[in-house]
Amino acid sequence: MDTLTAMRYQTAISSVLAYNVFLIKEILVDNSDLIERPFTVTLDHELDGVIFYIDGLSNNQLISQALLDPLIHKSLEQELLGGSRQQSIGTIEKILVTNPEVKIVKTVGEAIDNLLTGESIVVVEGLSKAFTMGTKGWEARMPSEPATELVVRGPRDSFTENMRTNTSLLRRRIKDPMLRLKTQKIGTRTKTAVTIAYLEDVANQRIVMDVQERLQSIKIDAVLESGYLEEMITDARHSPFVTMKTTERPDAAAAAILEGRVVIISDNTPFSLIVPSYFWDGFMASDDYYASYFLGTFSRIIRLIALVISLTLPSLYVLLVSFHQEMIPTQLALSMAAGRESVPFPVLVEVLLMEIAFELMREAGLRMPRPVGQAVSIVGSLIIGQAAVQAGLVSPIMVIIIAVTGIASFAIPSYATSFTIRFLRFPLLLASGMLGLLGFTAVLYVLTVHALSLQSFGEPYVAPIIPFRPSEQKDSLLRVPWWKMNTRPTFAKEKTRQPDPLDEQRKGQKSG
Amino acid sequence: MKRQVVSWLVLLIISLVTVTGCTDSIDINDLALVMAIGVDTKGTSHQVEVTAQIARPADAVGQTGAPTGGTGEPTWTAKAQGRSLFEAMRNLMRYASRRIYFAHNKVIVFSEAYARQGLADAIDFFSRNHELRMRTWVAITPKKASDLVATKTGMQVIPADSIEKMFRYSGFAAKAPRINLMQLEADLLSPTSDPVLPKVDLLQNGLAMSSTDKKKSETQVELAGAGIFERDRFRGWLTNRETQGLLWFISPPHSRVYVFGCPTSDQKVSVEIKKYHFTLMPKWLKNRLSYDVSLDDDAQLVEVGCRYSLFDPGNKKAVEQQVNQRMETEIRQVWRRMQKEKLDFLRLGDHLKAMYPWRTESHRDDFDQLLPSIQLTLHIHTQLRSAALLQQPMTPGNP
Amino acid sequence: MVTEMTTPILIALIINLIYAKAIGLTEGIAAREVGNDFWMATLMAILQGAVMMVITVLLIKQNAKEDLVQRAKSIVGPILGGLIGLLFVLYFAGAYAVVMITFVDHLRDYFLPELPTIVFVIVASLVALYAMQKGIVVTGRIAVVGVFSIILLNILLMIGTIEDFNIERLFPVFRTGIMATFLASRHADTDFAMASMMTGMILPYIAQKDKWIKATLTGVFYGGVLVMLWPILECGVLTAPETGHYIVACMQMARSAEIGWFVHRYEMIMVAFFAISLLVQLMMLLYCGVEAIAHTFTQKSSRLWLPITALFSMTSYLIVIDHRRTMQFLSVIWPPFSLAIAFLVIALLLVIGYVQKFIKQRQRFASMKKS
Repeated sequence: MDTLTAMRYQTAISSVLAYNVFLIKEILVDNSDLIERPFTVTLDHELDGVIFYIDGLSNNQLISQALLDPLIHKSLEQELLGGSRQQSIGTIEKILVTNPEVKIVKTVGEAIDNLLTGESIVVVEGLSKAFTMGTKGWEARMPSEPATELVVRGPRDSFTENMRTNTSLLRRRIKDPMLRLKTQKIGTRTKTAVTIAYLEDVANQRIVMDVQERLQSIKIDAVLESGYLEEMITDARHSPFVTMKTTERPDAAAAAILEGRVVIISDNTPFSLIVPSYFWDGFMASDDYYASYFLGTFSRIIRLIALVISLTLPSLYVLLVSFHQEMIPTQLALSMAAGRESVPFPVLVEVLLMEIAFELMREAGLRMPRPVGQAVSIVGSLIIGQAAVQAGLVSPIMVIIIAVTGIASFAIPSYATSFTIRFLRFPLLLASGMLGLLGFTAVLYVLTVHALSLQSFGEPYVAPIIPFRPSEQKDSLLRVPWWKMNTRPTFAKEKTRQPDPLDEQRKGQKSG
Repeated sequence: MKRQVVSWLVLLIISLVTVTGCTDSIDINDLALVMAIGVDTKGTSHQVEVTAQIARPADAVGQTGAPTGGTGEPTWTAKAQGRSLFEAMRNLMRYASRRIYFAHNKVIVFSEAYARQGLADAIDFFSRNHELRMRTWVAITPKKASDLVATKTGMQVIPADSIEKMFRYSGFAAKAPRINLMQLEADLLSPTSDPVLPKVDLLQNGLAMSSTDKKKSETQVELAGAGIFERDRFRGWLTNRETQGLLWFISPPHSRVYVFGCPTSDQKVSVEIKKYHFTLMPKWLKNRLSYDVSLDDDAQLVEVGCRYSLFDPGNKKAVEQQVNQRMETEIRQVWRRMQKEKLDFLRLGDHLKAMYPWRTESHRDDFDQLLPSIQLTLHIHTQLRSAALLQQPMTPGNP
Repeated sequence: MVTEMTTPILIALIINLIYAKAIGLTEGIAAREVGNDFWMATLMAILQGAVMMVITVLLIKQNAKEDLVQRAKSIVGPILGGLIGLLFVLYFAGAYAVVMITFVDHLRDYFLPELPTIVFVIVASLVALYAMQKGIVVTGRIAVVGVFSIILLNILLMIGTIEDFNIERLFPVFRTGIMATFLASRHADTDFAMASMMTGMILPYIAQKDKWIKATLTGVFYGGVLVMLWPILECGVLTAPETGHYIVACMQMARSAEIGWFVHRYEMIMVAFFAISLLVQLMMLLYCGVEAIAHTFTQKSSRLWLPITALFSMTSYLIVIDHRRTMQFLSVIWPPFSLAIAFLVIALLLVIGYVQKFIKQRQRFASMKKS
């Protein structure tokens, strides 16, 4: 913003209509979507005014219905009182203020800021203030089925790019007067609305304050997606681990709020952030809570196995085959040796080749349009599954290892966590390939230490397993039935969800 | 600053390891997986001859998509000499194209001639080497160990595998004790016990591989008793009976079979012993050492060739008595042999030590001399409890 | 950050510090000395370890804000105290070497015989350095993981060897005499000494002062119980003479254990579970060494991280490079040195501290009377 514009920006709305119009048009010069609509209201005096709005951001119908109609109707109904000009201006003001979403702004800058969010600006001759009218209305996607976190059982709606829709989705789920939705604007140019949602009496005040402070301290020109915020406010800046869970499921967000967490919703993206979140949150899916608790617990155990496999299987294979062959059962050792008989590469190179091929395939399938993506996966699986073995480039067991590892990494519900794990297996792989068990152990230890040293908004990242929090075990590896799920995580202010029905019963028996 | 130094150090280590190639890695297909080892003497010059049965993975596993190599034999047997066991093993490398690797070795066979010279250094070598498993079976043969190792035998693709499984399930046949390296080591280190090893032999009784190959009858490896040692030197063989007696003491059989003639005809009755309880109690009475052996067992009729019913109390008694008698003979025979040889291969000393630690201590060095004077008291009690599925035997013309 | 240190973490640290060397190297040395009685020696060591621990805790309790070195300085003055501080540093260097021996002997001899020893030392030290840089709370947390894996290892080993376990092999006890057994327990004592010295350095960070004694004794007790399984199994499965024949007896155990015919070698499972505990030990000793030297010369400890790590790894490398030197160090030099510091010096400081307190009180009474 050059100095002239900045100066104009700060100018107060004057009572001269033409001047105001000039300023607004000068600041927003060369914008085809800026609509200027002059009107005249005839009361005792003819009064000129201009409505500004951005085409596409504002609802034209709404403007004519909610704004123009009353002005013109009023002007027809109004008896000619023969009042002064000043009185007429007051009347217009009264008429405009009756509109449900009206704000009065005093500077050109404020007016323009509001204009750019989709509101209409009304400036009237003789008034040294402008009115902003809530006429936001643009083409938006309807809540549709979430694209990333699919569930077998559970609600099918997801957040959209419209923050208001998103907050309404939350409100519809939590009809609690204590639900707070605090909004602030972040990004000097994008002025993205960012809302933090929490339950006043459940969420820990320290965490809420922390989130607010961090958001306020963000200095950035643009926030196009919540990922910007995530990296700006995360605890673990130099770490492959994600300390905030992202979700596009309103039910997951609502559940988090009910647990005493804070949800950060950013405008223009369906992905909201949940803080604080644990490492293990990446292994939980909404399904766990909706399906039977047996199934929930079982799936979590399976995902834990997936974690171990996708992190360590290739490295274990490498260190067994090229260092510690004595650990392999004889029959398996023979099979492995036979499979590798014609493979020209060392094991480490073989694994790396296959891993890279796999990652390529995944990446290609991800970005391609869907029909092409299928072709990619077919070709890829043919090459990797069949041709590579027949050509003697890789051993058949290797293919199984890579395939199982890949599948395991897809079994982790959170894409971010899954990616972290996939990424971390490379250092592990290199270390095992170079130093065998020594390298494997050392890198695994370093990774563990690193993960343990992380925090998510003051909460230890690997909790509730380490440090061990007994009360939170109800919802970590296990998913206890809902009638037992009566406590919230330890960081919540209000720790009991509902009294334990058994306790109630016992109390009842005692008194009875 | 510190972070930088640390990262430089890490970089240095990584490059040290990768660039100089000073890692320990060797891929599995560059290893010669030894499956069985035979140890012989070579000539009279105290040279050691080592025979190794090495698996050829491509042929041992079969169709894997990888081109199979050459001969189609699942194993390859190599032989080398040296002044010591280790030298001989290293000499194997002179013509083995891959690194000889012992971690998957299943059986070690010593020839009688080698065992006569003492096994101590061989056992030391095998337990000092980290590659070897402590559960490797150890055996001794009167033939040349190299012949035994080279014999292609059995149901398994890899011959050593069949010897290994033979030992694993030898409890059913009850023909030889099961001794692994760990056990042998313990016997050798014990101040009183003397080692005993299973005897394996070559047997020309197998059927030919295929009907077109009628001339060649196949050689088999069989379990055939046990060899006893004085300290680490071979002393002699036990007879079949003695071995069976020995098994009660050191390598409890999984089951035993006894066959008798029918009381009424020349047909046979077979009895299987599956459940039993064997205890050995040493006792010092007036400076005289004696051992109480008690053997309580449940017998089961498994094969009856004559009219015979379990429900006839006389029959039951007769069978039980015969079983008792057989068992007693076995045990007495091995006991006599032990007293004759003055070798504690029944591990009596170890039992004694548990009961009378101090007195054993005083006999630590002359325990073998004590053996001939030890009294044996036997309490054998057989119960014929079951006749398996049949109430009456399947005899012709018997409705 | 420091306030997060809780008593469970302290217990976990103590267990980790005791465990790793005690189950293998120590048992081998003790078995060579007293044969069958080595498991009794370990049992005795638990009691002695508890005594050492209590002495250390009492010493720190005299002034809950100071660790061992600072206590020494404030009891016997800065110069003599500084000397004692240096002695402690020397102790931690030695302990570091002892643990490094355990680490290297397990991994090198059984897994990577051809890898140069220096690589083991450097990798282990770097990992320990990294963990130390993250702070002791993080190490405390990983110690909890260590305890879990120790328990798991114990269970697995029990399952794998129970078949061959023969209780008769444990007896007779005290064949070499009670005195000899007691003397042999000095080897296991050194392992408990490591825990008590470490406790002395970190105790000021643990808030609940009144729980100190209970928590540390719990740690010693559980650590002792977890260790005890090993000599008993080693004696009952391997027999004492065989235990004595091996340098790292516990690995020999693992080599002999199996679950079914498929899981036929335990070494890797064992090392995988056990490395955490070893690395925790290395990191804690490094940390204690740095703290000790920092307090001796009143320096900022973060500046000493690198030099101390380098120094400690150098000394341990020089010892670990040669098997003969290793065994000489472990069985002849280390026990008297370690016990002299962990028991005698600490006890002496405790007594002097009490006497000083007593005199001060007397003086105060006297001055009160006068006035």
